[in-house]
Amino acid sequence: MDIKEGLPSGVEEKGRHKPMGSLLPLLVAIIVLLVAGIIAVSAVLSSPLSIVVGGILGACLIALMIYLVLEWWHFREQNKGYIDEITDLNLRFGILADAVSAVSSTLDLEELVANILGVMLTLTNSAIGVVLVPDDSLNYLHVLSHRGFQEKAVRGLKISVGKGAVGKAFQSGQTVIRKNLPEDPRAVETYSEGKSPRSQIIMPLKAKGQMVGMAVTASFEEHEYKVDEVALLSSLCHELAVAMINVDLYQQSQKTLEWLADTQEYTEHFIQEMLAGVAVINNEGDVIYFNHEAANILGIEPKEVIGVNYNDLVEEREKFKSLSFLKPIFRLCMEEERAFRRHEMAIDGPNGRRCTINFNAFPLHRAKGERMGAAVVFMDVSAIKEMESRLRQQDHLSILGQMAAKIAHEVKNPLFAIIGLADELGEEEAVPDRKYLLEMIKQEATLSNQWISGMLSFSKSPFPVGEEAAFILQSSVPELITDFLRSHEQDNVKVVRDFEEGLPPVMMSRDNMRHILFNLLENSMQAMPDGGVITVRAHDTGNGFVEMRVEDTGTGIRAEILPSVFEPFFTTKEGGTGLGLAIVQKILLDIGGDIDVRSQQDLGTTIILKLPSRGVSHERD
Amino acid sequence: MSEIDAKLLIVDDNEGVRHLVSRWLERAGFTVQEAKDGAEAVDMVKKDPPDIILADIRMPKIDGIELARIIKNEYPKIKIILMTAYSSPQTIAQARREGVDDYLEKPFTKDQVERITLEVLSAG
Repeated sequence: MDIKEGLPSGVEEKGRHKPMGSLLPLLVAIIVLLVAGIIAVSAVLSSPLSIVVGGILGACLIALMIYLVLEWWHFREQNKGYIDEITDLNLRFGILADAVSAVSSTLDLEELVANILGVMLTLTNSAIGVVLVPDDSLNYLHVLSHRGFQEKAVRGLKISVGKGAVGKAFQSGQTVIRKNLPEDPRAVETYSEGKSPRSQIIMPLKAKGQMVGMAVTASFEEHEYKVDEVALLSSLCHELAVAMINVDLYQQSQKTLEWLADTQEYTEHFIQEMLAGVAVINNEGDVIYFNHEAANILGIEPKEVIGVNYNDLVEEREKFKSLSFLKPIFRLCMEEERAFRRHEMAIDGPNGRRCTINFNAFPLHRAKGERMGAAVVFMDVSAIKEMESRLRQQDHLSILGQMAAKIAHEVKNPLFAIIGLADELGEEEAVPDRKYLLEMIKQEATLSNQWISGMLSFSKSPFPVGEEAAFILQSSVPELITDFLRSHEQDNVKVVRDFEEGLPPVMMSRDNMRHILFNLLENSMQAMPDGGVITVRAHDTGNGFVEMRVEDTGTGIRAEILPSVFEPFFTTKEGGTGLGLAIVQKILLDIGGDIDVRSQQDLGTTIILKLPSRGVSHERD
Repeated sequence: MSEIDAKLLIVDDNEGVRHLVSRWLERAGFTVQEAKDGAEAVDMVKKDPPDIILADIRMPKIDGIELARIIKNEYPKIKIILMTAYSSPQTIAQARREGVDDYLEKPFTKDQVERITLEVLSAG
């Protein structure tokens, strides 16, 4: 603030006073001499003469004192204007100092305005004052701060821009002084003191070419608004306007900061909750984000990873084993600025589970281009991959089925003719040797036909839709097992059942169950050449399925071939068709069930069947 | 061998099958005609409607099911037996909806085809 701007100018030039500095020491010396004379005379002499001399000296003293007083009075009178000016200047400096301190010490707009308004009132010896600000549309002014008004008179008050003295002044941006104001008929309900103001000054709050409001002070007396006073007020108004703009800017920046903080919070929340794993490192390579999903996928608590440098995410550190895939990715992002989109890789997930991870990775940069770290966003797509592979397999099965059906027709039809015609010829043939040859033709063709029929069971739908039968496992499975053992009796193999009570019926035909069970039992038996136990278990999963397991204590399946056991034509058996488990799986998928296999070499294999059930379990007794 | 007063049309694109089944049924006493596909069968039926048709399901141009639909629509009294080397249950169900009287799965024997043909004819 330019303080001089608001002050009466030319103080130095107004030298109307008469200095009395040269006369004063002389007069003081005379007084001192007179007093000393009186004391000396009184002390040395006690004669009547001394009284006379003392009296004369005393009279001189009194005369001198009177002169001094008169002189001082005269001097004061002569320099009254100057002294007043000094006092006034002091006061104004004080006011401005207060105002400046108010402006610089607060960023609370209302407090600031109230302070400055107080200063203005003191300055103009007024009891009424108001600061008004425009609304966003600049159509109306409303009260921001006031003094001397009744609250209800200003609450919600709107002054139209361009109307009334204040509205017009806002529009023109001019200072308006109004004197001899007419009696306000609503003075009682408007002003705290109930009196009507007599004079008023309306001042624009303007800074940087921007009108930010109006300040009005009014006095109950006729007030003479002097040029100096108006200049000071205008200076104050300018300062107030600057302060108001600053406060507004400050509030806007505060809002921006809040918005930024909110945005950061949202972003963090979003990252935390999103259904993809997110790992972020800073430019030093330390992990700064590791969200819930990342923790879920990789089986580690975020707090164990946050703060760890990516270079330490190595396989050798047992707890970071599942995270070790991140290290090379981060390294390429950081050292070579590489980005990865939809990359896929197999990793060793938690608990030794092999997972397929799909990830995007990229270096992070500030707006200016400076690198600030790197991020990896990843998903566990193992289940999707498995599903895809199953679908592909089903697709193969379907194509295979169509092919088989075509082959069946094209081959079985002529085979039928061959068998029939050979039979016809054989019946009419009398030569035994020729009859035998015809019989051989018939046999070979019949064998081919049987082989094709066997393969056809694979392409045949297990049963037409809408013909599902409720199949009671408890009663039927034991019968099927007995049937199986009748034809596959093996002394050293024991078949045990462990069924939960009250199992709901499953939705499949007895023929299909027979086919599945026989297939699985046969596999199990073949896996236990030295004997063992096959356990058939079943329990209700409670979500519309019965889970049936066929467990054996056989040789197990090697881990590397485990994923292939359901593939058509995959076989490890001499002379096997490789269709057994493929057909079992097809039947289950067709009826809306599923199949899974778990196996450990030399410990045995467990086949898990998910059989769709109708309704819930029967109530147990 | 007694003569049966019934005219029979065998429709199959496989000559061997056609010949075999004709031979069996002629020997059983039927008057047998042969057609090598559905289109030829329709023409023959127009000229001289048989009492019963034995047709293969899979044939070029007009297949057994289509043939059954045409015949049952225009000559509801003609009986139809479809023969199939392989058919899905859905195809069988569709054949039944078209009014096919019975079906035979290849390979069948002379006795089987004779018995089913007589059964269908006597069903009225």
